[in-house]
Amino acid sequence: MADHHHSQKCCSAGSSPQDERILDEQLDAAGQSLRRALKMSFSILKVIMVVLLVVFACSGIFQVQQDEEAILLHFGEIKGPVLKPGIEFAFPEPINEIIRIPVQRELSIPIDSFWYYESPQEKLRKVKSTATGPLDPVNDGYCLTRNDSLEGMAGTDYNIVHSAWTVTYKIKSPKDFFENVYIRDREPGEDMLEAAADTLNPLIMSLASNAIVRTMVEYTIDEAVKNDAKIAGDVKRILQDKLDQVQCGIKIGDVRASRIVWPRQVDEAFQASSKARQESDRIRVDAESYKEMLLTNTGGSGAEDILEQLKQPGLLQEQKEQLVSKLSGQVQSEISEARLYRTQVVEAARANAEYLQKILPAYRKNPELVLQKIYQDAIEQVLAGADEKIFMQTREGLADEIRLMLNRNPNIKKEKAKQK
Amino acid sequence: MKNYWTILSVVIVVVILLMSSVLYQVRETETVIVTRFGKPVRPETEPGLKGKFPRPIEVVHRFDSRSRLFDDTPIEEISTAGGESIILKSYAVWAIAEPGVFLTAVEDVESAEDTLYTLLRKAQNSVVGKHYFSEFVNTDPSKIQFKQIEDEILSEIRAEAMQEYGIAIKTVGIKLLDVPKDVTVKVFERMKADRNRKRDSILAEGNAKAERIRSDAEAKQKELLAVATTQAQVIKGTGDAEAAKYYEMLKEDPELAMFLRNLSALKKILAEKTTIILGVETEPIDLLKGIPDIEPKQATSGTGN
Repeated sequence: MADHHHSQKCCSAGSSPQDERILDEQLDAAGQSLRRALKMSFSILKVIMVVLLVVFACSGIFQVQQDEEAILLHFGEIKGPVLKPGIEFAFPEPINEIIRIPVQRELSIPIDSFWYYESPQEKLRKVKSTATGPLDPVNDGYCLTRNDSLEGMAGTDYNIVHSAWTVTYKIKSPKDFFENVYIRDREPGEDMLEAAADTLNPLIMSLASNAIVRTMVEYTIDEAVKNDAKIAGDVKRILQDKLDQVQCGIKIGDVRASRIVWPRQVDEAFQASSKARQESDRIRVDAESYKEMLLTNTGGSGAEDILEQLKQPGLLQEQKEQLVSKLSGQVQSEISEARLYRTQVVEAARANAEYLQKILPAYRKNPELVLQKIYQDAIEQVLAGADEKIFMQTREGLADEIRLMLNRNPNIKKEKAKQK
Repeated sequence: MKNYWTILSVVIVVVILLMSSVLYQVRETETVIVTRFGKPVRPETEPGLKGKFPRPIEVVHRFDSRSRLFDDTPIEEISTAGGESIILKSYAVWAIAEPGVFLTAVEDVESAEDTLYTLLRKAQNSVVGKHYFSEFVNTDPSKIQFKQIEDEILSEIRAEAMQEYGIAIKTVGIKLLDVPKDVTVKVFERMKADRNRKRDSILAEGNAKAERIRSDAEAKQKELLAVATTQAQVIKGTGDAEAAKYYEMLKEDPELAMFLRNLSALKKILAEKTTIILGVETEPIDLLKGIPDIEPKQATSGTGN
């Protein structure tokens, strides 16, 4: 019970000096912990500030990407050379400003202002419709080309062609490009070239159209429709000249005419003319193969060249013979015949001579008999070989007449006999 | 200590405000004119940090100095010197070069474009009117004056644009060169006629070429054969000469030789397809009539010896 009392007392004694001491101690502990907490927050704040300072300092570090180059503006003025890909440092705006320029990217623009008007349905059709009407300069694009110069024709003769082109370009000099080419302000998240396209593409298209118009008047329609690389080359050269005149730092990569065609209104006449060209080529090729056939038959392959060599002046007989021996065909067969003749004539002469020599001793001994013998042998041979032999008995004082039906080809007679 | 910081911040703010009112940037892409009480006093075309009196004493007017395209011209039909009509459209590339002049004469890009519209059309019409159609397109390329015409248009507007409006014209050009609508029909007719003429001449040319090739072939064939004949003659001649050596051997008995020669000729001639008609008296056919009257001859050798 006494313990209980004591404890009650103890617990209810809130304002005793001992209690105050305890409270003070407790308050002191709170203050201390507050102080500690504050101290800690300050040190955190310090760290944050240091971090912020570092971040701020580092915010000046930036990377120039692989496909771009950058220009550093210092109070609006270009400072130092153009920055190549890599890590660079700049002060924050407004001291420095970084202009990134994508130099690697090649852009292409189609130029179809020289093509005739086609409705969307017509564009999809593969076979182009025919047209007979006039061309309206507002809707139908075309270029003028010069005509061939012909005697008796006016100098102002020209033709009309349609063409469609593609031009590709790249930024070559970032400095010139930045300084001299107007580009509208960029929208957030927009790439420089996207913003540039709005103003840059019309500029390049105008300059390119100018170059195309100027180039085409220098060519004839036949040259134009062949779409020679030279035409695109000329357009490229004039276009590049114009761009350089404006100092816009742009380099034209490729100029290509995807299509150059004559107007649909004259299609029939042009088709006929190109057919005529094919026909003309065919006639020529035919003649050439005739020539080859003829000369090969006559002198073998390479006969024409050999003939040219034979015609050279001052050839020795030996050289000529050597060249002729290279020939074959009809020439060679004529020469072979001559060789055969030569052999035959020589052999025959020798045989005759030898025969004479052989019979001469016998003949000298007994000329009549030998002659008779030779003669009879010959007659026998002749008579034996004759197809028909007719012997007539002649009677004195009577004029005998014999009529013969001679058939030029006795075989016909034989065949007739067989048929019977 | 606390006061020191406060004063410092105030000073910094004041300095910044002051600086921003007296300092300004000219960007590389800009050109600037400073006006004092509304009067242009100082053009700044070089980039960098510049100073001025604060507003309202001096005011900075900025213009974009980069080149722009102007092609808002109409497609226009113009009469050339010879009276033939031509349809063209030109463009110009321009930039603000004299900000002072530009500010007073033009003020902004939109008005500048209106000015260019007038200038370019005027120059284009007057220059084209001085040239013949044949200087735009000609069968003789050396007579084409396209570049010169463009240069003339440029020089006609360049000075005026600069002096009167502070605008630099970088280049001008013709981006469309057409002929009036009804003329195209005539051009087509002429192109067709021209093509038909070409078609005929192409065929004629092809035929002529082929004929030339054929006759050349035939001539060459003859030449080859002539070569062969000559060569053959030489060979035959050699053969005859060689044979002649044997003829010497026949000289021992020319009569016999001739007889033998004739006989062999006879054999050759009558070798084929022959019909022979003979009298029955011919030897040995006379044998058909009967046995000839032959008596044995005395052996001369035997009796003689």
